[in-house]
Amino acid sequence: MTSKQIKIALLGNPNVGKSSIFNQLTGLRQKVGNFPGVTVDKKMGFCQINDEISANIIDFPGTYSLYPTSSDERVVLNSFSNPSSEDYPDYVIYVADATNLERHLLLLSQVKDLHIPVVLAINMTDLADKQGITIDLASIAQQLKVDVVAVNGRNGEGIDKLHQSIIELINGKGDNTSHIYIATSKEKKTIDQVKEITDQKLSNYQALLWAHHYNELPFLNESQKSSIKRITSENEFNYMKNQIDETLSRYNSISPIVNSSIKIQTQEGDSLSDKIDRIVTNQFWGPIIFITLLMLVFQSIFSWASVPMDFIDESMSTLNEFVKNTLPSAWYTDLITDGILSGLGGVVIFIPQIAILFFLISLMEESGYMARAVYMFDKIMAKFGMSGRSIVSLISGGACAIPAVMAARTIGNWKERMITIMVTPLISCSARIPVYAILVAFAVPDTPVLGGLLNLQGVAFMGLYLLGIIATLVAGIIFKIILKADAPTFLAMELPSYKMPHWKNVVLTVTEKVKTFVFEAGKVIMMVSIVLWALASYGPGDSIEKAEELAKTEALQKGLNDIQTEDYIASKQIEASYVGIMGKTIEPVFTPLGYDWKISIALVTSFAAREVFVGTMATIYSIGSAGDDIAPLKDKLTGAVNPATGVHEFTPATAFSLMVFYVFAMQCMSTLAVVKRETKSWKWPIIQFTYMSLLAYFGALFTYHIF
Amino acid sequence: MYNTSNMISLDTLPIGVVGIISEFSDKVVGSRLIELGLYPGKRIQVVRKAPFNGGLYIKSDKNAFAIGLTEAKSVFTTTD
Ligand SMILES: Nc1nc2c(ncn2[C@@H]2O[C@H](COP(=O)(O)OP(=O)(O)OP(=O)(O)O)[C@@H](O)[C@H]2O)c(=O)[nH]1
Ligand SMILES: [Mg+2]
Repeated sequence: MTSKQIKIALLGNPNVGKSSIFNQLTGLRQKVGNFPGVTVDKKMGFCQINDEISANIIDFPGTYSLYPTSSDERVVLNSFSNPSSEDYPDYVIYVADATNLERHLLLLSQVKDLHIPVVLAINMTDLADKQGITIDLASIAQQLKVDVVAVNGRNGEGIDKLHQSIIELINGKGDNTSHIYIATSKEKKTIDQVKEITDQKLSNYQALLWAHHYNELPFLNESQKSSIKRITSENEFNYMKNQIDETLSRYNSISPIVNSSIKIQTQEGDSLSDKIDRIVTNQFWGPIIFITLLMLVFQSIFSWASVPMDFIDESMSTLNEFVKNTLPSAWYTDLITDGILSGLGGVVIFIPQIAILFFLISLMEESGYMARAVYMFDKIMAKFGMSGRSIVSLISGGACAIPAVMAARTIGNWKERMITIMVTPLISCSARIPVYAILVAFAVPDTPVLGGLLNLQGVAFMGLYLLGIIATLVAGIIFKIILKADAPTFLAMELPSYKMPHWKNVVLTVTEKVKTFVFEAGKVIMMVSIVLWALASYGPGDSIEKAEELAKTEALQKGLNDIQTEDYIASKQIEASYVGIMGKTIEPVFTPLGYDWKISIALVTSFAAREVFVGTMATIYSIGSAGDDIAPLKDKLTGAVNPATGVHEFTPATAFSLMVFYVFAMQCMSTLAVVKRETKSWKWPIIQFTYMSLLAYFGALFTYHIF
Repeated sequence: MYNTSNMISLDTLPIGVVGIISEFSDKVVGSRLIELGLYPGKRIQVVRKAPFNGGLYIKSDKNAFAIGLTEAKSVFTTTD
């Protein structure tokens, strides 16, 4: 059997149903990568066209034209204007929206001029039917000289015809020579000269695109760029005017074709979308509805997700217990249980939150609601360097920064996306609650204020959350000033009509998000947790064994019972381990903040996750067996007196300083791993870790000295 | 071709009044609007304003669009 491997691009305006058709064509045979040099998702899938031909399908980001205004759109230009690009398609499936053909044929006319064989898939035919739009496919096909297929991205109608058209394209049917846009004579001269500076065989329109965009095309070398610069200035090439004239000229060719090929039975009155929008984007009700929905999102990842999370937690500890009891007690058993299994648990535990958040987000995206949120909140968020979509990340960050950072994916503008990712972890997440709880319980009296409406501890809690929110917004403003934009930010977008979300697309989004988290960020989380385990379980030479021996004798002398003895040994062991040594080594750095070596150790271990702080403190203060109950630790901290000096080790000033430290500090390796995965480099997580640590350090220093 | 005497920027077009796009003063916004199908000659209408002094909710043909307030200042329309 001779089999042929071809590359097909799915292209079209945003929101026309490319990904839906992609899902129809490829099912679960999908993987996600990214386009070279940028953080834009590249969804690739596999499709068996017929017995002989298999196709690699690339789902390109939606774009309005080959004149890009965002990194998403730039990806399309970079791939389509460069015949030697690895993503340069052999064939294009161009997806257009049946309810709005004129605008959607603009990009098609550009693709046709590139001379890549293309088939036109007219999607959303069900909606066109409902709106009384009838389209004469044959007339469009004949006038535009393309094969036209009517499809439905939701139920897969017409997909088999699409297969058939692709086969015909491959067999050489289809016109790749005509031009829809006729270049002016000056443009023609430019085109001819640009063609001469490369060995590649360019179509006229590709050469014209090089002339327009040479400065931003990453595949051109410096000498090519300066040649094009010379050519364009010699020919008095006027970028903006040429672009607008070209676009209008394309409409001039398209409009008559569309007008002669479609019939609309005009309907009077407002559409359903208009009616919904009258309430949903209302000046007063709009924001209230949105905030209510976000509270629902927050509630579901904050509390509903805790059911499956508790289940995962329990299953992991049962498994842990089982392995411990089955395998002989040796170092490798500890590695498996405390290193690998707890690392694995640390990855799996995030799955419910990620799945639930992306389930809800994809409902909002699929239905068309998200565009309304952007419309309502873009102005406010722009002040902080972010987009209307960023609010979803910020609110989700109140539960957990990990899904929140992942949710920033859909923000089209690079700068806005980066700022969202960089500041979201400053919002107090649920992992900070146990830390705040013990510190507030220790330092703040439980006295009622406002006539019993609140109590002082509650006020302190609110203060910490507020501090996080303020820091988030201020950091946003600062990043807005520092970061260089790669594209202008402006608001001019379509508000698509409302649609029922399609379950298949929702399920595929959720699966994909969970998969990338587990397999990409998960690797880093596993590695760091194994390292942290090793550092906490081992010390130089036989220091751990010695500490254990010594602790046993001391425990006997003090007459401790079994549990107390075990706790005491654990405390001495961690003190003797590498982590203990690290804690003692960095103690001088933290002394100005009011932290001793014990707290310093807890700072090291809680890098794994903030809530580990509480457990480590309990271990160090020899009450490790108390579990989740914070009362014993609180008592211990209150009573702890430095044996040498006789002063309290843990004062309210220390507690407040620690609270502020945890509001700001990037104490979460999992978030850093996700930021690495989302930005595709270590640069951003390192910057994030540094700025948040500095903020935490100086914030805590300041706090320690005012209390 | 258009009567320029009654040309007003989109942000000052009263809600509900149909205007005809005549020109753009910002090329980036202009070219994006053209790509969205909002080119000179198209009829366009402001339906409502966003909360917090945000953008405009626009309709043209049967399609809805969101345009920022600053962006709207660079779009000029005529009314008949
Ligand atoms: N009624 C109807 N809805 C459809 C059809 N095809 C897709 N949709 C819906 O249209 C919306 C957008 O579909 P997507 O497949 O995400 O569109 P896209 O082109 O990939 O969008 P971007 O990647 O954002 O550019 C979703 O709500 C789909 O469920 C169709 O044939 N009929
Ligand atoms: Mg898509």
